[in-house]
Amino acid sequence: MGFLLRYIDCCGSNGNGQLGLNHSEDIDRPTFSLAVNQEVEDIAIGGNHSLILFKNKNLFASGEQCGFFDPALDSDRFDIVQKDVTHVCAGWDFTAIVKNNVSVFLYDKNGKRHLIDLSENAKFMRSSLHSVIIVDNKGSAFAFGDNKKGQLFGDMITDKIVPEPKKITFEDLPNSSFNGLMVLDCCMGRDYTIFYLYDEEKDTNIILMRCKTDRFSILTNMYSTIGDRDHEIQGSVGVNKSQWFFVDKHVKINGLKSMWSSVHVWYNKDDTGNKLVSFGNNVYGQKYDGSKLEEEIDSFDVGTEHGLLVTKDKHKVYAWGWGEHGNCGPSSDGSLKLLFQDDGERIVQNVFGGYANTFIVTSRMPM
Amino acid sequence: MSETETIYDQIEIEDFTFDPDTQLFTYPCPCGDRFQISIYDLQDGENIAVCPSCSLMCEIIFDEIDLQEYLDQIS
Repeated sequence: MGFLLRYIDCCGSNGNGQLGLNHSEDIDRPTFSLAVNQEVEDIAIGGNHSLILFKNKNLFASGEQCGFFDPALDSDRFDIVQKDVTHVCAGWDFTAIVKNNVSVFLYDKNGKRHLIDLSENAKFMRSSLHSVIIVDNKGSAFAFGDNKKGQLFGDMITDKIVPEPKKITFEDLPNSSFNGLMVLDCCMGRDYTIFYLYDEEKDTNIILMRCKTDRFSILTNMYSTIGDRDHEIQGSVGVNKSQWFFVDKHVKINGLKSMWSSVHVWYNKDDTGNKLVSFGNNVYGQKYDGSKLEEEIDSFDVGTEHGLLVTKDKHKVYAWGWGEHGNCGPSSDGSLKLLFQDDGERIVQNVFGGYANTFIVTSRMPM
Repeated sequence: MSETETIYDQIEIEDFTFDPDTQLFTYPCPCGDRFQISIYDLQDGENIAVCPSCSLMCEIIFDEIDLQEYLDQIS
C-alpha cells in the first residue's frame, strides 16, 4: 500500500511568491508547485501568503508573511514552518493556527502570540481580512479581530477590535428558547458573517447574518431560496445587530462559503440533488451560473472574488468570477470556464481559492 | 476585462488606513494589493479609489467633515 503522493498546482496572483513557484510573477495556467507524500488537510490563503497543512500536521508556507514564522525563509517556495498543527486560517496579513486541536496561536507583524487554549477540540476555523472564528466540536464559536461592523459579536460585544478570542453568543435574538444554539458552519465576507445554526431544543436550523449593511441583499435572497416561508425574516442588520431566518425543513445545507461580497450555498432540497446557488455582488460574474455545466459537482471553494468547482468524476476543475490575475485561467470573462483537466492518470482531491489565486490538489489514480 | 468603469464595491472611510507621510488612504484589494486614493482627491470630491495592480475600483463612503481628523495628522 501506500503511495499518497499529492501534487499541488496553482495559478493567479503571485506578486509576493505566494504560489511557491520560485518566482513572483502572476501565472494564468495551473502550474506545478509542490509534490508531497502526504494527504493535504487544508490550504489557507492570505493577502500575500499561502499555507498548506498536511495530514501529518506539518504546516508549509510561502509568500510574504511566511517570514512571521522564520525571517530566514525563502518567500517564493513552500517550506515547513510549524509542526503539530491541526487547523489553519489566514487573513490579509496574519496566520492563525491551532496546535494539537486546542492551542490557538496568531502570527503577524508583532510576532507570535499564544491566544487561548480551547476546552474542547477545534472543529474548523474561518477567516476574513482581519477576523477569525474558531468553532469547536460542541458547536461553540470563539472569535477575535475586526468587529467594526458588528460582524462577529452582533450586540453582545461592541468593541471595534477584539484582540483576544471571545465566545460568540446569540442572546441578542429576542427569543428565550434560543439557548444552546450550535454553530454548524459559518462564512465571512469582507465585512459580514453568515452563521448556520442549529437549535437543538426546537430541532430547527437558522441562518443568521451580522453586518452593518446588507447592501447586496444577501440575506433576503437567501431567505427566498432556502428559508422557511411559514416564518418571516426577523431582526435587522446595522452595526451590532443580527438578522436571521429559519431554514426550510426540506433543505439540507452541505456547503456555505463566502467571497468578499457574495455567499455561495450548496444545498439539497427534498433529496433532489445538490444545487449551488449564489447571493450577492455579481459585477464580475461572481454569482455561479451552472446552466451550461452538464456534470454534477463533487466539491467547490471560493476565493476573494472567484469560485472553483470539481466535477463528480474528479477529473476537471471549473472556475468563475473575477479572474484578472489568471486565477480562473487564460481567457476569463466571469462565466464558468474549464480551468484544469487532468491527463487521466490523476484525480482532483480538492480546490482552494485565495486572493485572486487558485490551488488544485491532485493525486495519482490507484494502480 | 471590458467593464473598466465598474465599481467593485463601496467601502467606508473608517475601514481605510491613512498614512500621513504619503497622504494616502489604502484598503486591501481582493488581488492582494491595496486600493488607494489621496486625501486631496477626496477633498476635490473624487471618491473612487483604484488598485495599482489590477482594474478594480471602489467607492469610498465619507462625509467631507470626516476628512478633518486625517488632515490634522499631516504635519
